Amino acid sequence: MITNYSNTKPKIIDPLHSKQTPNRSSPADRQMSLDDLKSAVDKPVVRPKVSWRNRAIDYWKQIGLRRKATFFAVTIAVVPVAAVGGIAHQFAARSLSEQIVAEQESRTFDVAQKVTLFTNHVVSDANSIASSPLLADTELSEVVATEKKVAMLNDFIKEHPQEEYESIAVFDLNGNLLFQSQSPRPLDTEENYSSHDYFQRAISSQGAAVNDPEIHSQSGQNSLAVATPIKDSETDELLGIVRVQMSLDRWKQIFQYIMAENWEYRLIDTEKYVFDAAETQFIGRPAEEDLVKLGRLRENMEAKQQSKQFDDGAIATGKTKDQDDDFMALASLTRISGIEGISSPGWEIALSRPIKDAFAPLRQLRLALLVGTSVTALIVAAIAAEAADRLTLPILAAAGAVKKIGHGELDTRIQLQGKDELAVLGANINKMADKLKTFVRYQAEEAKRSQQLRDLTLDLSRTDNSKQVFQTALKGVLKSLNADRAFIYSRSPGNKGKIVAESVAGKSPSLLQGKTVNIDYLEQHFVGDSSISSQNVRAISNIYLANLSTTQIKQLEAWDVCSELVAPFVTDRHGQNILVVHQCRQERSWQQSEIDFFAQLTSQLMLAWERTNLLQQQKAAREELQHQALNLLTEVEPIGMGDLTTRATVTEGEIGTLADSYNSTVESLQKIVIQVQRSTTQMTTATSSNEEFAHLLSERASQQSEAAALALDRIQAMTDSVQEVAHNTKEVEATFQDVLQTVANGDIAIDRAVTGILNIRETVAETAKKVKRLGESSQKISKVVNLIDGFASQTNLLALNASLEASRTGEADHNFGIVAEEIRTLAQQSAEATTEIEKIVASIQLDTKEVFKAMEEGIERVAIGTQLVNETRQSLDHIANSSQQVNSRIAQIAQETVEESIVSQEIGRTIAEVAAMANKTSTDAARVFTSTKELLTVAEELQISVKQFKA
Amino acid sequence: MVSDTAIESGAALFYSNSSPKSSSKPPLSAKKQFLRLYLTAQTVTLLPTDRLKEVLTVSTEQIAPMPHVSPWIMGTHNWRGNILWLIDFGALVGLTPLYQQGSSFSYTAAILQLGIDDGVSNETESQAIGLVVNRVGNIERCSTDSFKAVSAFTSDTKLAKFLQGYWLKSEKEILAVLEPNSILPAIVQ
Repeated sequence: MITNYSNTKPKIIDPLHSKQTPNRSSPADRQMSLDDLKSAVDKPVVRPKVSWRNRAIDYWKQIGLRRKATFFAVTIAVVPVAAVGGIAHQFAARSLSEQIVAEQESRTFDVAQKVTLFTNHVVSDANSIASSPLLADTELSEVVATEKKVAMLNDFIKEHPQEEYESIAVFDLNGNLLFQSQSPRPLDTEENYSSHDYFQRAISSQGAAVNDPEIHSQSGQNSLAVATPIKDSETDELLGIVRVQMSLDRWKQIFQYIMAENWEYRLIDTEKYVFDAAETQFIGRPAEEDLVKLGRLRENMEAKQQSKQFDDGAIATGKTKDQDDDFMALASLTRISGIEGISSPGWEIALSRPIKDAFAPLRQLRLALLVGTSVTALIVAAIAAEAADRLTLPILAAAGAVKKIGHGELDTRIQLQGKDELAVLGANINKMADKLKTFVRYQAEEAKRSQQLRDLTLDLSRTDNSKQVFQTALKGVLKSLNADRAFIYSRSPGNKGKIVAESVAGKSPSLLQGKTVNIDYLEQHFVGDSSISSQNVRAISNIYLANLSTTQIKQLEAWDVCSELVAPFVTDRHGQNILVVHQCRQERSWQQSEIDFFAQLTSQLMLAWERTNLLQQQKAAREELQHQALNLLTEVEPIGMGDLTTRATVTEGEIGTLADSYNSTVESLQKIVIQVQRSTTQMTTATSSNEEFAHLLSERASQQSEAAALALDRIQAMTDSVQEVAHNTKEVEATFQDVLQTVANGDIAIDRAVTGILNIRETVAETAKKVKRLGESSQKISKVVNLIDGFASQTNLLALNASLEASRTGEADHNFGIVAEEIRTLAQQSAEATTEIEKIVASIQLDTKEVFKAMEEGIERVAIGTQLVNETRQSLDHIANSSQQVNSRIAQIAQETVEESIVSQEIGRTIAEVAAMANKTSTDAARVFTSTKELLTVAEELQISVKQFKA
Repeated sequence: MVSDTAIESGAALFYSNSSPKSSSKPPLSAKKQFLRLYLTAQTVTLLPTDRLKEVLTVSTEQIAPMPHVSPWIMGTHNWRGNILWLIDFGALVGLTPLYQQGSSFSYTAAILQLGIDDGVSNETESQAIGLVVNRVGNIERCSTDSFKAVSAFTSDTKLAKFLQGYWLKSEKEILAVLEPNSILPAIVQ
């Protein structure tokens, strides 16, 4: 709708835009032209650094009024509708969600209840079997055969076809199977059941116990088993255990109707493992594997349980992800309570259904609300937009008109309808257009006048005498004002006034030609005082209506004057002038602009008049000055010839002042020349006496030079002797070097001696060692000798025995006896020899000991010798050190001597310089002498030249 | 020492108690052999070799001392499996005992085979005893005839009853000749 509208009247949008902005600008800005305003509006858009907020504001400023109004109307209409729709949706959704959750929770409770009832039914069946007299009565039990008991169990199964019991078995307290019913899956008779948890619980609690349904490995099917203790009906003594087992297939019937509605259920045992579920693949696995946030639900549920202090009915509901089916599900978790014989904390049941199923009604509600709200909002928006459009239409029309006016179409007018504020605005705009039109016309005339005034001023500036000025001005006035006559009436104080210039248009009579000199009625304008300004223009549209005296009227009538413009102006201190313009034969009402023009012309005329007067005065003054200067030059000519007595005539004016200063200068010059003549004479005299002094000075300088030469000789002799001393010192130093060398040699010799002594000590030690070894060897010899001695005595004894034997045998062996005797003799001899050797060896050992002692003494001597040598060496070192010190002292002396020599040489050089200076002084004195002579000559020459001046 | 060596002495009487018939034997056999025994370093006696079995050196550890016997019995010695009584002969004859003559690790013993006459039976039992002396010397040959009687030199020294006589070997040297049979009775007492 909006776009259609703008297409039909596209031109209106632009003026609206330009109209909008001036309304917001300051009053000063309103006087600017509309084009300026446009550019001013555009500028901020181009500006680079603006924040997003400023930019938004700018954008808002640029949008057309119609769009803004539409936008506001639509916003105001739609927002409440949307808000109401949103709030309604919020409340409805919340109550609906609560309803859905409540429904799910009640369903969960319901299912839990059914599970409880079902299980309890099985438990009560088991109890009834256990309490049957066949089992519970001990006496009966003993009498009745096992077959009968089995038959009883089979009967029981048949009587309860609905429950579909799989098997009923009886165990003793140790868990051994006693007998069992017929069963599709009979129990293993060898197996011991006492290890099962529920079996133990049944015994310990003496009541029924339900298992956590377990998976039969063969079939992979879960089964529910209930164990009940058999108690003696009289003594309450435990006799055995009845175990009833049924398939969970029967159980599934409970969940059929909820599964039909796309629900999923999970039964969770005390170990938090799923033991029955709609999705069978999760059986035997933790429940969290399917429903991710089940743990959190359980925490919520337990928190509720604790806070509300009730065991039943604690339930937690929440959204969680279904891992298996990969969608979000609404899940409820509650604890199944009220079943006898389950190990605590009991089973849990979790029901879940997909979120999209659960919240389907919510979605429908949301859709309905959204559609309803949208349709309502659209309708309201359309109405609001139409209304806004209608309201803004007259404003747009007004804006368009104003724009046209701005472009110069001043005839544009707005059609007025009604009398509301918009109509008033339109009327005002029309009035404004009228005013603008008038202003434009005035401006054109004004421009023309100012052009004429400018031309006239230019013409006036070109004229160079007053007559011409007046004529030009009068012609210009006539032309510009389209008047009939213009003239200038001038009057000097004391004199009668007269017309000095006149210009006439057409056939109007000329006053100047009519010789009418006196114009009395104008006299009143000369107030007698020069303070009359050119602004005092008197404008008379009709002479009869202007309070004029009759004489004046008569005079004017004579000149056919009907209207008149009069303006006085001053030309100089005394003279006063009046510029008059007449309109003859026709009455004329003077416009303010004409009067202004007239006043301005008058002032321009006055300025031009003053300028021409000034030019004439300057010309006269320049000629007078030239004349006087020529006179002065003629008078001062003799001074150039050297006659200083000449004086110039002093007159009034600038040249006179010049002549006066000239005279005083010449006078000073005269005095100076006289002074110079006197000074020259004095100088000549003084220079003559100076000559003698210069001569004397030269002589003295020569004497000084000679004395300096003598001093130089003496210093040279001293330097020589110092050098001699240095030379001698060096020789002494060399001698000491020799001494040091000798001492060093001595040191080396001592070192050698020490080495020799040490060698001796080593040799002696070696010898001592050898002697010691000799002693050891002799001891060995003595040992051997002892051995030989032993042999000898042995031989001796044997020989004796042999001879005894021989003697006993008789004479036959007489020879043998002799031989034995001889052997004995030999043995005795060898014993004697050994004794001899022993003695010798002992003497050797004695000698060796003495030698050893002597050796030790020798070593001691060597040590003493070494010490003595070391002492000697220390003394030598002392000598060497002392010599070194003496040597260094001598070296120092030598150095000092050298320094002294250098100093004396420097003294010599200084004195030589003094001598040179003296020589120079002598030369300079000679030069002074010469200069003095020259000066004398110059002074004489000066005297001659000064005498040429006449003073 | 040279002077102690065996000399071929001219006249030597053969002396024998058991066989007087042997005196009829040629003069060569008249000479008997004697062994010099040094009871001390100075006292020299001669012992006939016919009753001498052996001369041996006995170290002190080979002597087993016997209690409650006469001081001159040094002890017993295992002599080739037989019990040999060792007798300090010097002490027996009233001279300085061996243990006072300076320490020594071994002694020289002359083993004497002596017959014991018990008087009941005619059989003579042979008994060996060891005479321990300072040292033994050479074997001398001499004739028993040249022996001088004991009384000629000494009166009643303890030694005298063990002697059969003296032999004047030379002017300087007079040697006492022991009677072996006299030794056993002295011991048995």
